[in-house]
Amino acid sequence: MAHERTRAHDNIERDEAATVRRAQLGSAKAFDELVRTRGPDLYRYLLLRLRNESDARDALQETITDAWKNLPKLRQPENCWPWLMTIAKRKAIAIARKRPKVVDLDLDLFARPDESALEVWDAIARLRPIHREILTLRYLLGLSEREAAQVLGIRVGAVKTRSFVARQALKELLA
Amino acid sequence: MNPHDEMDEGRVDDALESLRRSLPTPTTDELQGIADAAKQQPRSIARRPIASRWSRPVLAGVAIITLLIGSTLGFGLASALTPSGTAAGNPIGLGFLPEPGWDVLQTGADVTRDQRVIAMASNRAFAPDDAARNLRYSSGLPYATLLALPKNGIVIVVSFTTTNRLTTPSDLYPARDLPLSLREASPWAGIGAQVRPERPLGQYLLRASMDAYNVELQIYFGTLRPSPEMVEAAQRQVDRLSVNARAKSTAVHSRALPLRTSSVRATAASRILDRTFVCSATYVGGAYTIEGRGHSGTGRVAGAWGRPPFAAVETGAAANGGPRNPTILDNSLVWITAGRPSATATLVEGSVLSDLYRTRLWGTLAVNTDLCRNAKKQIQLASRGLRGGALGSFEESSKCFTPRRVFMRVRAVLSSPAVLRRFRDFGRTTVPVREATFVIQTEAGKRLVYGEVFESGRARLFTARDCFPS
Repeated sequence: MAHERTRAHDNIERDEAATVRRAQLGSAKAFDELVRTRGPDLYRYLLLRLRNESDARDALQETITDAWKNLPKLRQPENCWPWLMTIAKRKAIAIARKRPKVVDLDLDLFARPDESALEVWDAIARLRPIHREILTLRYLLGLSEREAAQVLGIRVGAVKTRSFVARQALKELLA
Repeated sequence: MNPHDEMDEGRVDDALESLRRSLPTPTTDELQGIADAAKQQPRSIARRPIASRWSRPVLAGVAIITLLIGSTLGFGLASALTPSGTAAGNPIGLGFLPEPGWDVLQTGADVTRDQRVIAMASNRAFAPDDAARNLRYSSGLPYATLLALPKNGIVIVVSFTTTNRLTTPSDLYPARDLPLSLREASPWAGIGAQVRPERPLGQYLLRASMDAYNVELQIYFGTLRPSPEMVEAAQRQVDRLSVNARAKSTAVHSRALPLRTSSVRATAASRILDRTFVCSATYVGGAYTIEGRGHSGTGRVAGAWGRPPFAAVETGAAANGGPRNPTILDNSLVWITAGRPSATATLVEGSVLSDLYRTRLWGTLAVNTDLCRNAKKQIQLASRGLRGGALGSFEESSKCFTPRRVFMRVRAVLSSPAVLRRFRDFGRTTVPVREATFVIQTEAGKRLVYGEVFESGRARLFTARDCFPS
C-alpha cells in the first residue's frame, strides 16, 4: 500500500514540476495548486513531529510563506517536494526549540479516533527519533528513497538501512 | 522472506496506513487562506543560474583569493575614503504582488539596456500557452488570455525598461510616483492596437518614469465600458505594483475613477473607416516636402484589378524609416486603392522589387504609424482651393513644401468590416476598398493634397497651387 502511494506521488511529481515552474514565474494560481496538493502531507508531517495542532498550523503557515518567498530560487522544480519538506523540517525544529521540552500528544488530535491508530502512534513514539523520522517520511508521506535522503541529508543507502531497521523495530513493538 | 514475515510486513504497512488516515488535515479553505497569507509577503528575486563548469567550492576559493588580493591592493583605503551608510532594503524588486483571486506572472527581475522586465496580472487564470511561451519569448502580451477574456475579465501588463534607451523620448514617460492612478490612464486605440477588434477590449495605457525605469502599464478590460467595480478592482491590483518596494496607499476609489471613456468608433471593426492623424513630414535637401501621386485603375480581369486605382502621399526621401530594414514604402504617409486587387497587383511599379510589395500583402489602404498618430481635429474632406483632377493610367505626381507637422484625414468605405492592423510600420487593411479619400492640410488649415479612388477605377488627385510637378 505504501508502494502504491509512492507511485501516486511519482505521478503527481510529473505534473507538479510544471506547476512549480509557473509558480516560480509568479503565478498565484499555480502556487495555490501547489499548496492544495502538498499542504495536507506537510501538515501531517508537522503534526507527527510537533504533536500539537496549534504548533503544526503555525509551522505550516511559516513553511508555505517561506516557500512563496523563496520559490524563485529553487533551481530544480522537480525537487520541490523534498525542498518543501526540508523547509517544514527546519520550521518544526525552530518551533520545537522555543516551546517547553515535554508536550503531551493531544488525543483529540485524531480526526477519527481509532484504537489501532493510537496503538501505532504509541509504538512510533517509542522508536528512536531517526527511525521515527524515516518511517514518517517514507511510509506516511510517501517520499521516495532519494527524496528522503535529500530531506535528511544522508545517502540513499543509509535511508534503506534506516527504513529496514525502523520497520523491524516497529514490527517488534506491534507484536 | 517466509510467509510469517510477509504477514508481519503487511501488518506494519496496514498500521502505518491506519495512522495516516487518522491524522487530521486542514480543509481546502484553510489551505487557501494559508496560501493567500503567504502571498502577501514579498518574494525573493530569482538568481541567474551559475555556469555549471565551476563548482561552488572553486568559485568560493576564487572569491576568497580575489578578496585577499583586493584588500592588499587598496580596498581598505577605498573604504576609508568612501562615506559609509546602509543601503535601502529591496525585498521585492519589480513586479506585481497578487491581489486575492488574481494570477500574476513575471519574466526575470533584472532590467538591462537590452532586456525589459514584464509582469502581468489577471483576475482570470492565464492561458497555459501565455505562461509557457509568450511571456518569455514573444511580445510580452498574453494574447491567448486576451483573446478569450470574458466581459468581467481584467489583464494588466506592465513593462519596465531603462530610462536611457535612445528610442524612448523622455516626455512619453512623465515622472510619477506609486501608487499609480488609473484615472490618469488614456484610452489606447492606436492604429492596429486593438487586440480583439471583433469584440473590442477596453484598452488603457499609463506611462510613468520612476527610479530609473520607464514603466508602461497596459490595462485590458473584457469590455469597452468597464464598470466602476472593475476599475476599482484593477486599481487594487495596480496598487500592488512594486518598483523597488516603494510604499503604497489604500485610497483606491479616488485614484481609480472616473476612468476616461474609450472611443468605440476608433476601435470596433466597421465598414466605414474615418480617421484623422497628425503626421511628421521629413525633409529632402533641407526642406520638408510631401508628394502626392496616383493613377487610375487598369487591367481589370474577372472583377480584379491588375493595377487598381491608386493615390498616395509620400514625404522626404524613400527608405528613411524606422528600426526595421528600410523599405521603399517607408516614406509613404498614406496610400489608398479601390476595388479588388489581383494576386499580382503591386504598390511599387517598375522595380525589380515590385513582387515584394503585393497589394494583397501590404494593404489596400494603409497609414504610416511611424510618422503619424491619432489626432482630434475637424478636417473637411474637400478639394476646394486645390488644383488637379482625374488621373490617367500613367502615374502623375506633384510635390509641395510643407511645415513639419501636417494633419491628415482618411475616409474609406470598405467591402467588409475591418480595422487597421499593424504591419511593419503601417496600420493597414487588406480588405478591398469601395471608395477612399484623403486630404492633407497644414495646422493652420491650408489644404495641400486631396486624393480619392473609386471601385470603378477612377482616381482623382488635387494639390495646392504652389505645388509643382515632380
